[in-house]
Amino acid sequence: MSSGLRLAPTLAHLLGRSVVILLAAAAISGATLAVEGPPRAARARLERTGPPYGPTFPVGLVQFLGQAALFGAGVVVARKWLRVRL
Amino acid sequence: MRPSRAGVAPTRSSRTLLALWLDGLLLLLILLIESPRITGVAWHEALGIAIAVPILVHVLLSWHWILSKAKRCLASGTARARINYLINAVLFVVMVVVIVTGAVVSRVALPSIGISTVFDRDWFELHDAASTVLFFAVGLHLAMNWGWVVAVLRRRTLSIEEREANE
Repeated sequence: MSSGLRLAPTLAHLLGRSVVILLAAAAISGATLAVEGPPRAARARLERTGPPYGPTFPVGLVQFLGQAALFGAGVVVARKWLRVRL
Repeated sequence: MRPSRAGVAPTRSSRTLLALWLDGLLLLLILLIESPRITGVAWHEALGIAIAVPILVHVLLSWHWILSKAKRCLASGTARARINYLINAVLFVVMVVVIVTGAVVSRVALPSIGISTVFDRDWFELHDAASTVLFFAVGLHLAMNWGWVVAVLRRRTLSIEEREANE
């Protein structure tokens, strides 16, 4: 990593900050586990026992473009009409 | 969340450019992950777990912004600044929930490395709901920071034009 693209002033800073972020993520994960309880076979979705589906290009492309269009429209609406900005 | 916009010194400029590229990559990854039909389940899960790395880098790049805005918001922040901070906090929480719940109900990625999983209905429903919230939160995040994206792109275009004019 060049000096111009450092993520933190020193390696110690980088590790310390990463640990803080990972601890925050662990706390959120712990809270999720406390709310949902550990995954149980009794709650398994039996209709999903078939093999996982693979990529289907035409359908997938439509889904991807649909998501991108929905996302773009959402951003435009937020900016233009809802006046979401800093 | 983004690095400070002040200053165009080479170090700050390359850092800003890195942030912009990284944000573009994150947006593309999120759109791909939110379209599992194009990736298939295996890649959906692999990308869903791998996205944790660019998110970590994104948060590290925004570290000063996160700390300074937190102090300012707590002290005398405007409602707009507080809402922006709240959206960013929600975005982080929801992103973690989506990644973790996705890993828990993984059918390919984790079992392929020997970790057995259960396709738990409740965890899957939470994963699904959190993904929807994530999609809207990312949209709001981008809308909030659109001015920064445009400013960086404009500055980049101007500097390229200046360089070409000087040659």
